[in-house]
Amino acid sequence: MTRYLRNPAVRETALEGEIFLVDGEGREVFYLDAVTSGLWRLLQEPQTIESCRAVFAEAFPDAPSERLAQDLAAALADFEARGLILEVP
Amino acid sequence: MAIVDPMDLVAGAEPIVPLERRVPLEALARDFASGRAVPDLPEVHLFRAPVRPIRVRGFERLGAAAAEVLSAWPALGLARDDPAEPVDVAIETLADGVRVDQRTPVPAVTDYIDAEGAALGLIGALIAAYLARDPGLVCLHAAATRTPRGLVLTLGSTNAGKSTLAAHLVARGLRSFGDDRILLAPDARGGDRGISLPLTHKLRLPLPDDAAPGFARFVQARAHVGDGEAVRLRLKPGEAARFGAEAPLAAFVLLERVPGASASLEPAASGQVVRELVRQSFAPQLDAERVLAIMIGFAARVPGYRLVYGRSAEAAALIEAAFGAVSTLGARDAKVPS
Repeated sequence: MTRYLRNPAVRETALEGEIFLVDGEGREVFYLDAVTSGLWRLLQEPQTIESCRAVFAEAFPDAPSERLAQDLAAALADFEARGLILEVP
Repeated sequence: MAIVDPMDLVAGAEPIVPLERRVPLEALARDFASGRAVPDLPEVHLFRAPVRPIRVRGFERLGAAAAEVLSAWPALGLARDDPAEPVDVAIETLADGVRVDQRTPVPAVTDYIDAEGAALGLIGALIAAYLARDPGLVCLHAAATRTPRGLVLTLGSTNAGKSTLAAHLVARGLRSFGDDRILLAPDARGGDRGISLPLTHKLRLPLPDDAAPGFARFVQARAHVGDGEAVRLRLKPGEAARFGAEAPLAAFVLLERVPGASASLEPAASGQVVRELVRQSFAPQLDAERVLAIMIGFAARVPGYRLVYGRSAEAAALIEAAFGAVSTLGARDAKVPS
């Protein structure tokens, strides 16, 4: 299963609990909302979709499992498309 | 002998572009508006900017829409189109529209379906070229109003009501520093300034039902171009700051229009202010990390507020009450006869 990790070239700035990221090329600033901030924190260590889903399922016990998996997959794909995370062996 | 426009003189710098001759551009724009054919000129138009003028080739192709640009941005005249002096922007006529070819600082080609759109595109290209000449500045998509405490910058998404609110503030006697874009000069020592880009105010039509008759008369007296969906205002002398005028920053106000809501002004969290500043920033000459650092600095030094409102008139009154009424400004600025 694919594992993901933060791209070390990405610069992170935290301000009053909010997280801003700048991509490795210095082209764009990204703002993370509460949910994607949580995902970003998880990605300090290599994670699979399943490991992320397990953590979020514990944090949001009322969220439908299928929906949670879809949202996490979409968020990870978005992070990857923007060069914020990398696939790791 | 070459004529040098004193507007080209920058403190400590020699004039770079000698003007071959001065052309009254407002008159030229009227000729365009009347449909008079203008042949291709082996010349470029020069627009005011720091260090050296911005060179625009094919400006005459905008026709009557050129007047829109000229009302916002001082033009200096014409110079020879010298291959040794690359143009910053080239306007080209297409079979089905007009192209704005921005050459500096970052090449970008945009096609517009009409000259009016291209005129606005040219203003964006002029801003980019201006920023390249003074890279410490950033441009912010915001309306700005001069209050006794300094500039109040209102920011929000499309349809947040920036322009209508800005027009209300002018109608109440405050001076506009622009309803769409402003340049910001950061100063970590606390001297942050805004620099006026007096683009024409644009209001969506119809005006809100709750607009007072006096505001409708204010708009009607200043409307000069409209298409039924929007109207552009040409403010009267004294109502808008001149191009390049500077004033200290007093506040960032994040707009949130909620139908039926009473107006309220509350301090905003720094993170929220930074998020909106970054979102509304335009600084192609800087990398994103630098832009973020500048905006974090602004948010640390300049108070940020969140303005929730339903009626523009009520929101304008709240801003005026919070940052000082015009009568205070009048008293402070009044000259004592000697």
